[in-house]
Amino acid sequence: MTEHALASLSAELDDVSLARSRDLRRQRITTVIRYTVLTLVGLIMIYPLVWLIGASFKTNSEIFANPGFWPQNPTIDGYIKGWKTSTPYSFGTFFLNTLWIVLPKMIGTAISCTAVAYGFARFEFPFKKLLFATLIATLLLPNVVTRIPQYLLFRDLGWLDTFLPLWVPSALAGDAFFVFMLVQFLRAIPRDMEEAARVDGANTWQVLVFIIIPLLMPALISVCLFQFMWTMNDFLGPLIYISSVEKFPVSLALKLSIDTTEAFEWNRVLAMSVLALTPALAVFFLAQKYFIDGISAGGIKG
Amino acid sequence: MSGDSRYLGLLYLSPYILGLLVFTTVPFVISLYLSFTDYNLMSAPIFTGLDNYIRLFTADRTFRKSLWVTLLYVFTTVPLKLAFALFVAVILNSKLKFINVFRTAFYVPSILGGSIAIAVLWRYMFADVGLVNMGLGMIGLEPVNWFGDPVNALFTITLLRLWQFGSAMVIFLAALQSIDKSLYEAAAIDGAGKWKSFVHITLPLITVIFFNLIMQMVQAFQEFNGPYIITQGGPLKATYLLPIYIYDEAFKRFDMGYASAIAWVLFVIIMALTLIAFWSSRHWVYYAGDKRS
Amino acid sequence: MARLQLKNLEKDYGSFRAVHGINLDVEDGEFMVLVGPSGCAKSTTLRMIAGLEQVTGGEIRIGGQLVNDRSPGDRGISMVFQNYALYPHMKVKKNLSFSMRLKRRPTTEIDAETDKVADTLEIGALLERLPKQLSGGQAQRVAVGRALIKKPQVFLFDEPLSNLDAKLRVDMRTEIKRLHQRLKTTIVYVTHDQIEAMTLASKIAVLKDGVLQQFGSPAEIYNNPANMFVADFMGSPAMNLLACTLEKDAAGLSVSLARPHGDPIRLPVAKGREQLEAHAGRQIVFGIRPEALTDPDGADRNAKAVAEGECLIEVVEPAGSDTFAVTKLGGKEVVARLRADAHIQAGQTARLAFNLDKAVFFDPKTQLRIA
Repeated sequence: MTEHALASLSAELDDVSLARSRDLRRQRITTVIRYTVLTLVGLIMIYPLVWLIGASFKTNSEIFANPGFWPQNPTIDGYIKGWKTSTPYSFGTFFLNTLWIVLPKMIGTAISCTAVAYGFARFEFPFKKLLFATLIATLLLPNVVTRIPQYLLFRDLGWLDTFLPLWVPSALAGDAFFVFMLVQFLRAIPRDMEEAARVDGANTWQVLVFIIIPLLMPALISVCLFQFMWTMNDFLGPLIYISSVEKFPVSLALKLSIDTTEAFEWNRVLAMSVLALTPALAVFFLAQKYFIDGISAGGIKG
Repeated sequence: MSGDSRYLGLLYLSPYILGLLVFTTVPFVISLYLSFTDYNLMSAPIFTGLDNYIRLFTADRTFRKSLWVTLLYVFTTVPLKLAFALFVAVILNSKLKFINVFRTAFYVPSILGGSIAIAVLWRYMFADVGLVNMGLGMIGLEPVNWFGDPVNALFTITLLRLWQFGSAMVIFLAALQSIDKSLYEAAAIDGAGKWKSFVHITLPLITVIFFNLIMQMVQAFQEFNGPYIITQGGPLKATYLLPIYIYDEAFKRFDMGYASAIAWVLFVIIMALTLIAFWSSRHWVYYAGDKRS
Repeated sequence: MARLQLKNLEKDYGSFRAVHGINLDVEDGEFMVLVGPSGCAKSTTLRMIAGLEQVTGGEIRIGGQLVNDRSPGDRGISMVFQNYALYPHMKVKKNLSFSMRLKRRPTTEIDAETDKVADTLEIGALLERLPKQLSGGQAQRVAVGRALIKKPQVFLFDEPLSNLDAKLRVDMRTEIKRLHQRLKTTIVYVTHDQIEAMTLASKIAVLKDGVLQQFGSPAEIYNNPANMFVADFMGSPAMNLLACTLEKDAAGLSVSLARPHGDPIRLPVAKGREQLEAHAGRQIVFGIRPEALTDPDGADRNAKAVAEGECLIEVVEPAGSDTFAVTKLGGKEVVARLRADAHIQAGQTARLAFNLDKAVFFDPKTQLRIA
């Protein structure tokens, strides 16, 4: 009797271990497939960038001869000549212009979006629901319709060919995305510290500056980083408003460099392109954590 | 709290309210008005009624071409980009080493992709003697005329947009990772196959797909940098997306009234599609967040 | 004068009335505890006193001055929050001195006051630490210190001990009481724990569903509860409340409680005869606390009216310093508190003594105490 039971039991155990090893094998194969696909896709994604960096150190002729990314005779000729540009200004001027656009815009965004988010997250007031609805609407609204009248407004204000049209809308919390992101962050912060501060005698402004902003710092950093990245890529704005070459940011300068001549020196253009991408890349790698956290928070909880 | 004015919150909102009025609401109304005028900046706008719109839909072949190209672009890139982002996110959603390396590799293109520098790179890559043709040559294929052929040109700018799938993928990955693992285990015990559990558990829970869809669509309709730099809207307007048409009419020909009309048509199309998406979302969007909230 | 007066205090949330016309007068130096079950609006009332909630009806006066429209920092109050609410990015010293720094007091003054408070609460060693480096008890003291440094007219506490473990809770309770004795400030203290209320308070306000049930000293609340809710809520274990009929016979008024085995026990009314006269023959609720129901040797020798009777003991719960015995009277479970060494076993009958001096009677319809 027991022998029979033991025999069938051991047969069952064999089945289980067979199934388990089958599962393990299946798992291993899936993992291998995953790694393969990911690596393949990753390489395809990154190769253009890798190639770009390599090409910037090549001679013009080599660019069109060799699809590999390692330059045969590395040279910084592209960088030197590209920096000088065919305009009276060096790329240094253009980089400074970009910085001159990005930094005030970033600071204006941080300040105004914090104040507005504070208003939404911590206060009750008439029309609050309506205003919040407009915030969401602005988030989804395509701004293609407002661009032309905005141009006309800036023209009437005499702000054409200045950086003001690029700064002012953001300084008035024009980027609804950031307000929204900060409101979400604020909702997660418990209010009793602010109440304690009010009891300690702080007014709403002091609560914002001394209590909330220190706690909000990670989110603020995310906001600044995102705004930095987006503004560095901004092309249409400067294209519409900036006409003097001496005020061109890097994006317009790059376009200029491929406009001017028919057969232009690609290695110079590519070298300047690498330089144009470097700040964004550097900032991204230095602050990766803030980027991915910010995008998940804004995307999921939205 | 006591002692606070009822309007204190409005004080903190004042920059936003000012900006909303000056840079959004008033321009919005003015652009609608302008679309019914003939305005070339030299003299005051002349009211012309529906002339712009009539011309747009009956006599303007460029508009028809541009509209067609734009719709083609949007309805190709958006689903492809989302599908690819989801696909990669699913593959990435397991206990692999180097997940962060992969994630970075996929994400970096999306932060650089909108820039002029990348557009310039693209223009090089698909040039007749550019990188892509060189690569094709290496594996024994004929070089392709990318910028001379309408379909190929459209392909290049589509590819640029797809290259930037990383930002959508990161969002999908975060969503996948937040799905309750016990749901998968319960399904496994119930005997559901991999495909079934994907369709019935994973997919409905990704309301993020919906959110992303809207955002991507709205962005795609307003694509400018890529086609402007890479193909200049050509050849023969094969990549002449509506935003470029609007830009040319407004800032090259200074025909502000007509440009506003085109802008409004684009706007209405985007809003209509957004609303349709919201309407239909009732059937296939499940707010997992509601359970916890 | 740190007198606190609440006159017809009301709080509405839209159409929902959370606080119904509370009237309280707290003298200078009193330790007033607001106690009640969850949802009784005690925290809401406290927050209105603090200015953290807008008052929708009635008045709050501190030191005689109307403070309804004054901001929280402008009322002469300080508050200790349930979760301490310390500023996480500031060291303890900065946490303590925040209120002074807001007023731009000179550094010498700030340092002197901070050291004084740190001494009083024995947190001098913690001054350079961040809140996340503090234990629960330490964080609590810092919260108290932060409130102390303001030298408020009224000190508010919002369930400050509920996040501490049992032993720490008892220790901190004593500390708070000692602090009150030293400083003699007016305190308003919110808790749901009626033991805390009884041990700390000089005056107790019992709240239920936003309505003040009774306001009085702990002894009054305990011995002369205004209604059945107060009688049941305060005191642990709870007062025994038994529905019965008030009988009148030649000997006077009495109640009869049925016993599972044997005749009902007759308990004569000892006090409050005039008030009870009107209820003769009617349904009444008889209340007696477990400690008034003891073994005959353990009975209060000063008690004048004592009735004794045999009761069937169903459950015996030895609790260390006392033994609780559960019996059935009038069809309901009744808890008696016996001496620890009382020899009683479940299933046996035992002779119990009823201290009728301490008995109270309630009208079952109005729930109010008659006598």
